[in-house]
Amino acid sequence: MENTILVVEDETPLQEAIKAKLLNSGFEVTTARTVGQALGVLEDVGGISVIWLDHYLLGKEDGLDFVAKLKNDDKWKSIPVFVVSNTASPDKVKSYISLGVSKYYTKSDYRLDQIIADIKEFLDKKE
Amino acid sequence: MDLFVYNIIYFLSIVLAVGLLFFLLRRKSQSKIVKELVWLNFGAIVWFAVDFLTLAEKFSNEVHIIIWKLGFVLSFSLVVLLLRFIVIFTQTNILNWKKYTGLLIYFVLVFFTLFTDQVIAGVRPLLFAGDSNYVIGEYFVVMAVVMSIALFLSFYYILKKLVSIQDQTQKIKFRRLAIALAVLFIFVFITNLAFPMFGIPIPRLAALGIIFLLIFFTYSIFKSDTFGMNFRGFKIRTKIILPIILTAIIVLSAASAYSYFFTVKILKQEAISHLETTAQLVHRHIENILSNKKEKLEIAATHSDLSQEELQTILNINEGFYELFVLDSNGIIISSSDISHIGLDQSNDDYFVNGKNASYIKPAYFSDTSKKESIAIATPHAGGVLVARVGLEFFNSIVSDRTGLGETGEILLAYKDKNGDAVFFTERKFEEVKKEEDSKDFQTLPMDEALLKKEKVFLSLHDYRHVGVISVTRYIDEVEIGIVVKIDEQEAFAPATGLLNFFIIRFFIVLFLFFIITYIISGKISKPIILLQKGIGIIKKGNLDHKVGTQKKDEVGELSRAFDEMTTSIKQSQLEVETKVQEQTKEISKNAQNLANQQKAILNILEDVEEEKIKVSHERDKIDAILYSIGDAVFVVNKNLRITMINQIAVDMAACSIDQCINQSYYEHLKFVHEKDGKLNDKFIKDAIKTGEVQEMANHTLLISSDGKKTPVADSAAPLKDKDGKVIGCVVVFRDVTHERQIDQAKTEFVSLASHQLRTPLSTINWYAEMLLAGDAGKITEDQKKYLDEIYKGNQRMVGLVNALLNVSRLELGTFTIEPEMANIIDIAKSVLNEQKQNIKKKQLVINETYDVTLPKMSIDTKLTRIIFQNLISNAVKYTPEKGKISIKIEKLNEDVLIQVADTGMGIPKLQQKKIFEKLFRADNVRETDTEGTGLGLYIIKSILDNTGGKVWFESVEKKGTSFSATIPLSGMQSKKGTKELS
Repeated sequence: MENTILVVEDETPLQEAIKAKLLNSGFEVTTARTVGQALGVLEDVGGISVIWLDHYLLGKEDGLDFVAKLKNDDKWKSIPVFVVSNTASPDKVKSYISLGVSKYYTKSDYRLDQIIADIKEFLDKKE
Repeated sequence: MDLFVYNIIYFLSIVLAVGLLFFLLRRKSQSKIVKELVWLNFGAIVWFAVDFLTLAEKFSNEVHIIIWKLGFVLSFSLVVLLLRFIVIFTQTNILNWKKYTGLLIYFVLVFFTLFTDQVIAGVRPLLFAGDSNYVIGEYFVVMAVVMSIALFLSFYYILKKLVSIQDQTQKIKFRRLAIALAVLFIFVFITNLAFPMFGIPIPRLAALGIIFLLIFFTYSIFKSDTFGMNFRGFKIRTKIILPIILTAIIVLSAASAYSYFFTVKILKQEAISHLETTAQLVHRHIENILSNKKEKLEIAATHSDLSQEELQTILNINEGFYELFVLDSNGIIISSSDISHIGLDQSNDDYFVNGKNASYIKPAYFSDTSKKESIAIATPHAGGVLVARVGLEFFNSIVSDRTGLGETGEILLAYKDKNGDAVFFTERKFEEVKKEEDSKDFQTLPMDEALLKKEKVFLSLHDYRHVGVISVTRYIDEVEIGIVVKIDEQEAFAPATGLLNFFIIRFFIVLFLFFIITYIISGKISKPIILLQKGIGIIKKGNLDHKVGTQKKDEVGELSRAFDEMTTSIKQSQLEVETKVQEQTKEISKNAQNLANQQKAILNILEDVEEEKIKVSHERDKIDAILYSIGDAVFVVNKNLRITMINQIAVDMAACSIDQCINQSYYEHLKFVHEKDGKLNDKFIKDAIKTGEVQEMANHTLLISSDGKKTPVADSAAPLKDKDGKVIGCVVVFRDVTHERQIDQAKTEFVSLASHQLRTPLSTINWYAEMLLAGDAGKITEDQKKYLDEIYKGNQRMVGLVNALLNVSRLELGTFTIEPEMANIIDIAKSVLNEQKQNIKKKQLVINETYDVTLPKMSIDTKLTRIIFQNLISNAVKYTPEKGKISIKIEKLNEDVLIQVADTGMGIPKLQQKKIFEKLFRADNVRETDTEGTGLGLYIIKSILDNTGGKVWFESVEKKGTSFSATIPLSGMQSKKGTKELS
């Protein structure tokens, strides 16, 4: 079965790149640009096995708010979250980690295929 | 080789050995080895001298054999002595006689050689240099074998030692020993023992062997600093005597030699001219006799008929003729004084053939007819020939007259017989000595030269007795007779020999006189000096009353007197010094009194000062005025933390009045708290009073005013001390840092924003390029791939640059965090190295890791530590050419951990080394070869280490490599709160 990944990223060109690469790597991909959209996707589409999350998003809420909501909901609590952001203040990273995200990446320092490989490996292990 | 050459060799050997002996004896330190060398050398000299004198035929055979044996024993004593230095005695171990085994062998050999004929049977006469000079005995072989085994063993042990030994100086020593033994073996053993054993007649080469040995000794002693400056100096007396005696020896020898050789030359000339005159006389005499006899015969031939009686009559009146006979025209004897010869046919004889027409003399020959050595004279007579035979013994009367020829001089006459041998027909003075068959070296006899028609002077030819003679030769063609007039060289030169003896005696007498005179004179010169020397010795011991007291009027006398005067003046000045010391002691005690007085005066002044103090208090008002006008908030507390002084700005910030504050505890009005938790934070004031040192206020301190207003403040507390350095209070200065905080905040936000905003587009480029390269948008051509690669790489560099810039701004803003945790520094190093694995592999670099595994875990910020390693290692990898070497070392260094990364890369140019830690600086050589660096890495390392108590430095040689060293305190890094981590 193909894994479905939710990509939460506000920057369109980046989002498209992520999507294309994930599709090429055999993922089903859905996207969102705000926390609201993301929650909507989770609610409406369902079957999301992993989330790709940026910190700064459109709208007032950011990635941290989203993760906080996820972890408070029993339905989505177990979905692994990979934060891929350029904002690397230690406080934020700590907050994310304490909330239970799987891994934190600095965008510009990683290749797409590296992150995707990590996600795949993570999912394989889980299964 | 000529005997002469041997004499030269021996002579040189003696000179060499004597020279060596001189140096050995003049050595200051007479160590055991030196003493042994002295004896060895002395032995060698004796041996050389013996052979030298033997060659010069100064010994009779019996004496010779004894001395020669002694010399032989000495020669192998030499060998054994040398062996003593070496190992043979310690190596051979029979019956536990370690030391004595060799000596025993030696004494047995010496005994047999000296006291029996078993080893050396005899010594041969030394006529020729090539002759074997001793006859070997029955046990000679045994001795040779024993000696050669000893030698061989020594040689073997030395070689073994030489191969196994490690120490260089020892090696040199053993190499020298090995060479010595090899020389010994080849020249002494082979020439002196092996050759005679097999009857090979060249033992004289032993002399050469000894020379080599001596040269080696010289070298060896030279090497052990024998000829160094380590000599005893000559005494003055010797210095005076030696050159005079040496000069005398040279002059006397030259004069004596000249006189001698001049005399010999004159004597030789005289002898030769005398011999020549005699020879000429003999020559003429014989010619006269012959012409006289011929005339007589011609007169007799005028008689028509010569009967036997008539021939007899003629014979009787002519001395010398012993037979007369007449030949008819057919050559038949028809008449003769000897009747028995009548009828003999002489037609083939020379005198008939040549005498028919004119008078003829037949040269000396042996007459078969009359069995006599004769000359025949023939003259024509009545169609036939008249012949007279003259007996050669007739000439005895000529040679018997040896007037003026001395003891050994004589005249010899001879003719050559049919075999070409000389036939002496006159009487000789001495018995002939037969030639020895095997002696081919005999010189040609003077007579042989004469019969070869040579008319010459010969020096040093041997005569029929094998005695050297001076000879003059003549030849009478008509009768083919050779004349030799000769005299023994010894007799001819006897006056010269006498003269030589006289010269030698004179030489020694004069030398002795010279010695006596110079000895006395030098004594006169050296005696006062010795007296002076003794005097100095006495005075040196402290007796200044001693006087050398020389009355002489020469330089030494003057010197002595000057010395005496000097002693007197020293004594005088000593007295003066004593007086002066006493005076100065007085002066000093006087000064001490003055000083005490001065002290009192100072105390008085101090009292005055106290009064002044009161005046000073008025000055305080002025200080207050100054204090109030300072821009920063200032207050002063006493030891009890009560405010003694406070300025307006301080009370404004605290929202109270000056009067309220004075004499109150400061914390009543001025509350310093931590920004975070609101807890009291006035430790810095108490610390300043406690420690007596300036204390900084902690970061993020707030001042809470009496009306509850919070103001962020910063600054310090400084202790106030009295004149004794005792802390009596503290000055606290602080200022409102609200504005500074705002600026900081703005900066931090800018960095944060920049980091996000700059990185987002970079990520976009990054990922799209990555996807294009991965073929996610369809296949791409090689060129496209190449260009995309460049885009990707360029972008990566941009990312790196942005990261580095962000780090730099955080470091500069001080907004970065230091979060120490217990970690193993070696693990961090290994992990960073692992990241670089691909680059290392690509460049085939050799990595050398040295870690002190006993290092404990340390409290360090792993991110910062990682940044340090990343920069150091990536630099090393980047700037080291292919197949280069990188060494990474982590170890304890005093109270720190030392990290060292050394490479064999391009290095840092000397002139730019100072700038290497500056921001954005890149050395010329790396800028030329690599465009990727940011010039920030080392700056970041230095900033981090400056902030964490570490240090960084380096050593570098351009084109050779660079070694970076960094230290981090073992105690770890201090925690620091900031808004940003470095990435």
